[in-house]
Amino acid sequence: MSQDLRENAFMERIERGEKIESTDWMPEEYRKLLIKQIHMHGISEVMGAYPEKEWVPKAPNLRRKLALIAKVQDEIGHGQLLLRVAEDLARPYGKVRDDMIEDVYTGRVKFHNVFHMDAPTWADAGVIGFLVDGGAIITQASLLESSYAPYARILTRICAEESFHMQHGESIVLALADGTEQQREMLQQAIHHWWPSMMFFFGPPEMSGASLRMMDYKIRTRTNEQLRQRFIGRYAPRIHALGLTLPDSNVYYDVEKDLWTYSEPDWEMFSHMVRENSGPQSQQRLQLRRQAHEGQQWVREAMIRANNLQQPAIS
Amino acid sequence: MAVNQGSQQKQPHYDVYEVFIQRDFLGYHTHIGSVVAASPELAQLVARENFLRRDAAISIWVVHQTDIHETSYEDTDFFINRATDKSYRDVSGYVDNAKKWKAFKERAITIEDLVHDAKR
Ligand SMILES: [Fe+2]
Ligand SMILES: [Fe+2]
Repeated sequence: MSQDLRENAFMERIERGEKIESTDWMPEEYRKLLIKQIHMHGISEVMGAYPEKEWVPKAPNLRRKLALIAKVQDEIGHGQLLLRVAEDLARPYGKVRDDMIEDVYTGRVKFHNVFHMDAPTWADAGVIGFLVDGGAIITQASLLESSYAPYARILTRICAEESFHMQHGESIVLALADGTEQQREMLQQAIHHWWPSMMFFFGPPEMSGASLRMMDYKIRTRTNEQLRQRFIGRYAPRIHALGLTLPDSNVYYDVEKDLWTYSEPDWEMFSHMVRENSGPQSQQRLQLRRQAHEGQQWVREAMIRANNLQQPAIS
Repeated sequence: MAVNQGSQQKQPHYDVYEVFIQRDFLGYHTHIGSVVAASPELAQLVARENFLRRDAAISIWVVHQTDIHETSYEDTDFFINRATDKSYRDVSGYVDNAKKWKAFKERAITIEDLVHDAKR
């Protein structure tokens, strides 16, 4: 079959809503878009564990500490599941786990803007679970219908675990909202701190060429703006119900347009942060990531040697 | 698991293959049983005849039984991490959230609500 015919047949499969498996033929563009998306997603899960991990030693009680550890474990686990999906796709390019991990501190793969931010108080640890996980769930839920079956399958599992993250974050937020004036003030500041990052999180209303191609291929099926609208629609009323404010007085529901209005975040500032890893905590967290990966290289090598020394299994 | 791979046996000897079936595109391959067959291709065929005479499926994996590395049923310590209370890790450990949202005159939402939003 000629290349064009193959690509046409592939697009017809996509149009019919068929799902693609890793072993199916696929256009190189489809494969590359998937690798970029899933690699970035997986690495963001790993980097996403860092802001919360910083609060594990300082959690206010044992139950909170256990829950936070559990969440950090989950996020690293999500990273591993997603990288596995990306690796199968990247096999024709000879990429393995080490490359996937190294790419983050050599700057070849980016991670979500929210994980470049600092988390100065315990309220930030709660608001991350509340707003960042909320936003991540909205994005991931929209990918459950992805045309790439291995991605959709693994996201089903990931979303199931995210439901605990959501409750955990809300539990901290509710405790603070129900607390002393000082606790409410801390929570209020954290909401103001994270809101602009969350507006950027879903991406610009005018989507990039690559994002639009992902829509064509049904790798994703919702626009940036649709996802942001869902987020504001769920979270702005909840924040107001807690008696707290948003840092943006333009957030209101426009009944006529059936849309939430909001002020644009500083697109250039956040893009620069993601592109150059220049956020408040980017370099420090990348440094830790590098230390963890390089510092434990001898362990990974020793495990291979140990396995080679073992007798071949007796069948 | 005594699997004799010898080819000089008098009677034909077939190897055991464990069978995994995927029923729809968003489903996982699930173990369903095993077959004996002379080759992986034939194992797929026998699996289809044994397990899919009525049910539909979209994919079958057959795996040489000796390629399966199983945990021991006796080694219960391996699964010991379920022994302690893990409610802090489950949605069930956070039932208070709903009450508190109510006190703030707001309805609690669940992940299903967000999934539903995304599909809207
Ligand atoms: Fe996650
Ligand atoms: Fe999460």
